[in-house]
Amino acid sequence: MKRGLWVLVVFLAVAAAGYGAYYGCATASARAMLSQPENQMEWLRQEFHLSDAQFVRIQGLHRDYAPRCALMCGRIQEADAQVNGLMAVNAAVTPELGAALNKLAAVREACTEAMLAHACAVAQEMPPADGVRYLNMMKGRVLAASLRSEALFPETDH
Amino acid sequence: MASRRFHLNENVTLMGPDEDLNAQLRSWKVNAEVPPTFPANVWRAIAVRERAGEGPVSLARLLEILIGRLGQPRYAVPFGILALTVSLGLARVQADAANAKTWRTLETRYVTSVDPVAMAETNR
Repeated sequence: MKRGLWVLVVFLAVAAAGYGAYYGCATASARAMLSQPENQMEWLRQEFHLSDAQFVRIQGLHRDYAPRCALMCGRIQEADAQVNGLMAVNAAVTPELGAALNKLAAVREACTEAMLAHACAVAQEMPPADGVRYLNMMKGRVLAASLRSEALFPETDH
Repeated sequence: MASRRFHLNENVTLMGPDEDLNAQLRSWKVNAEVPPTFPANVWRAIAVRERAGEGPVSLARLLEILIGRLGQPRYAVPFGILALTVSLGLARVQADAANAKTWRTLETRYVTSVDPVAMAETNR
């Protein structure tokens, strides 16, 4: 009984060590990526099988686009804050609120167009099949965001 | 009635007035050979009867039996292989799930970095 108990303890310890070792090794690469700076670009490289040359060009596109992206983000936040401010003052759809909502929708539409233009430029630098998959992913994200936006801000008359 | 004294010796003879019977018994020799599996069969039969006499086996008793069996290599080795297989299988499943979650997180980070709408929603 004692010997059997020792055998049980040893085997369970070995099984636990095996679990830890396998789990650690299998997730090490992903965890390392998560802690790197610019890890989203490394994700892009691995997910869409970019060569070194393709990756460098896409990094350049991303660097050029990033300031415009931040600027557009700021415009969306301004328009959003304006809508929230008007709604906080008067919980009714006034002409001012309607105009603010239209402006927010227009800003979001312009930003989405710019983002898709960037996505198309990036897709052209990728291997063909991966480029199609990348564009479908970005379109899916845009569509999901658009649906959320329509749910929150139904289209108003111009 | 005359008393008769009976003695038992190796040949199981009754030393009494019936000499024919005595002679026949003396000539009777039993050559019994015990088969090699006889002791094991006896213990097995005893164990079966003891088990039959018991009620339903409790979990504690079952564990005791199983742990006791682990002392023998023919049970310990398969158990060790099974324990390692289960632990590695479980590690594989959970590692795959963790990696998939990490990948989705990285995908979201990328999209947020290029989509102003997503960036604005994240900063809200």
